[in-house]
Amino acid sequence: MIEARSLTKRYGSKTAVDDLTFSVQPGVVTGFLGPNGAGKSTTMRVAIGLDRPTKGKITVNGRAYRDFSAPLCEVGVLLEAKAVHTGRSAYKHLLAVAQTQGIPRRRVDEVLGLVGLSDVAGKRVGGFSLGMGQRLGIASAMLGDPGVLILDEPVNGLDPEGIRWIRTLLQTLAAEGRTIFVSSHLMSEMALTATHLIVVGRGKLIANMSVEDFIRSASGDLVHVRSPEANRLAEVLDRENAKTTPTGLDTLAVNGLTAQRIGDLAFEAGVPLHELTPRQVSLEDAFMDITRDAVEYNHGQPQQARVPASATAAGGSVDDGSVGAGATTARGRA
Amino acid sequence: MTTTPLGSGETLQPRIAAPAPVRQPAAFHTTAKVTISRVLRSEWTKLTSLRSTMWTMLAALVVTVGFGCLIPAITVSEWHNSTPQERAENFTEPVMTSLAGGYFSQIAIGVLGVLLITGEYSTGMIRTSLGAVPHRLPVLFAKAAVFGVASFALSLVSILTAFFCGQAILHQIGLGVSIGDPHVVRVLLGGAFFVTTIGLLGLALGTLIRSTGGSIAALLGLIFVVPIITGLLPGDWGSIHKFVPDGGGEALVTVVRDSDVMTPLGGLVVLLAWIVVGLGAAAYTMVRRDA
Ligand SMILES: Nc1ncnc2c1ncn2[C@@H]1O[C@H](COP(=O)(O)OP(=O)(O)O)[C@@H](O)[C@H]1O
Ligand SMILES: [Mg+2]
Repeated sequence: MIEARSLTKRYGSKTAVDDLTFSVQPGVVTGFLGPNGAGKSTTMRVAIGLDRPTKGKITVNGRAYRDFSAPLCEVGVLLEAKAVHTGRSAYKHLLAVAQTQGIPRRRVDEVLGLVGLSDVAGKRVGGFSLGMGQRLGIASAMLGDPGVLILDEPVNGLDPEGIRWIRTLLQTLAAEGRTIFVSSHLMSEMALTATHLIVVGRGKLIANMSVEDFIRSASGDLVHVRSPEANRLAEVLDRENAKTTPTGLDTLAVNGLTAQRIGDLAFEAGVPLHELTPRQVSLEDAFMDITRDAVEYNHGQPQQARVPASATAAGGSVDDGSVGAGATTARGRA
Repeated sequence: MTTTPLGSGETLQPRIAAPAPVRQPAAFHTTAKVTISRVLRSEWTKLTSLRSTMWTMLAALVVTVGFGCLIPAITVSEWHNSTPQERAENFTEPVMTSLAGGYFSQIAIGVLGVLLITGEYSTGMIRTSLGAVPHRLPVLFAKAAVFGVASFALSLVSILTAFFCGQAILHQIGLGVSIGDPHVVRVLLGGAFFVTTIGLLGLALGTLIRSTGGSIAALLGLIFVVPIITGLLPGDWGSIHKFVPDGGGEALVTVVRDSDVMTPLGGLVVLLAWIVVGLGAAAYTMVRRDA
């Protein structure tokens, strides 16, 4: 279990993490979600004692990281920026790390096998692809067979196969009862991997809830309706305080009513229905909705015309434009 | 959609997670613990697993031995072209003649000391190192110990080889000394210790400055520019030179001593003081700054 209490970290006048309080439970994958620059990496660095908090604290299983006599056996870490000397072979890198606390040599072979790097164990890390680098990072995190894993953007830059591999691995590790805390700026990825979400923006906690609740609360459910009398149906539904948006000649996107209720209302009004399909609003939309303020504050730009979630969802497209734009706010560390 | 139930200021409470299944910890958990001897072993693995480090050390050895044979060979040919008076004045330090390569190996070892730590900062490896050893100081001191011992051993081997080669050549003109002669062992050990000191100062500067370029510049400034400046100082101020690393090293390797140079013991104390102050400052910043 990981617990942050009023955690605050400032770099000069820049507040990277602002009074964060949350806890991460064992047994499930917990996603740490937020646009770039939200303070995810900083929180993780503070958690393992690399950066000193300005205020508050973060503990693992009730203890400060530096109090562990064999930290790698308690907490495994994958940092966003590769934390490996490029001139060393994968094997020697892991060996040197393992030796600091008496983790046996055979465990090095084991984790290399676990991540599928046994064949290239003797090769210099500098020649590794992004995916191999991430696998080495996972191997390093797993060296001490820890009960808690902290992974910063582990799927960054991976191909679909690599992403699926990490996703499955994390879920397996969580099912074994480990605490898995994994950050990402991609909602879609977290939806597939995580069960629970901690969402941050501008260093502040925005949401702390299950993925299911997150989607439900961020954007209401949406129903796609097709009817030859779409206009008349819209009038009927509007009277019930639903929000209707025409999405074609004979189609509507309806917010605020269940499919069942729409069907009943149409029947009462004598409007024929040709299609009645509940649709969930896309996760990216839910995420953008909830972090919009944070992202735009970072830009220091006037607010963009807001695309109604219903319209994007009905169109079936995910407008990740502003999430991508958020990426431009990420600044390199000085 | 018109409403977002969750405003950006609000926070929903987490649901209670299901009780987690019990996991058997790995067998090695019972013995795993960070100890200084384990960190030493880890730093030894790090030192010996970088090809660039090995090449630099080999270069230091080759240069020391190479110049240790070359300069005496040049000395021999000059000897034949000199008047008896020149011979008496200019050929007084036969041991130093075979230690000329030390000037270059101090650069190699010094730069290596810098790279030992700045290489970790530039690649991000330092975060892995300090994450594994959160108390941090064991990492710095184990690095210093392993590197200090390795560079002293390497320097001593190359200096001894250079000495035997160079003195064999100088024997042709009757100038060669043997290892049993007065001061010789002290000069050879002193030379190796001086090179080691420069390596450790490189490590200290690298830890303080973190960037490779800046640290190397600072180190070269300390060992080459500072002596020039102290040499230009007027009057008694010039004796400051005794207390800079170059002066300390000079005291260790000089046989024919003039009044500006300390005793060998004094030189040893000066170098030890530089090591203690340098590594002390490095340790202080390493525990205080964010990694
Ligand atoms: N070492 C540092 N010095 C100064 N500012 C920093 C440092 N590390 C992070 N920041 C700033 O803190 C904020 C949060 O960064 P970070 O934790 O990397 O966010 P995320 O991982 O969510 O993208 C950013 O604005 C970043 O520029
Ligand atoms: Mg980050």
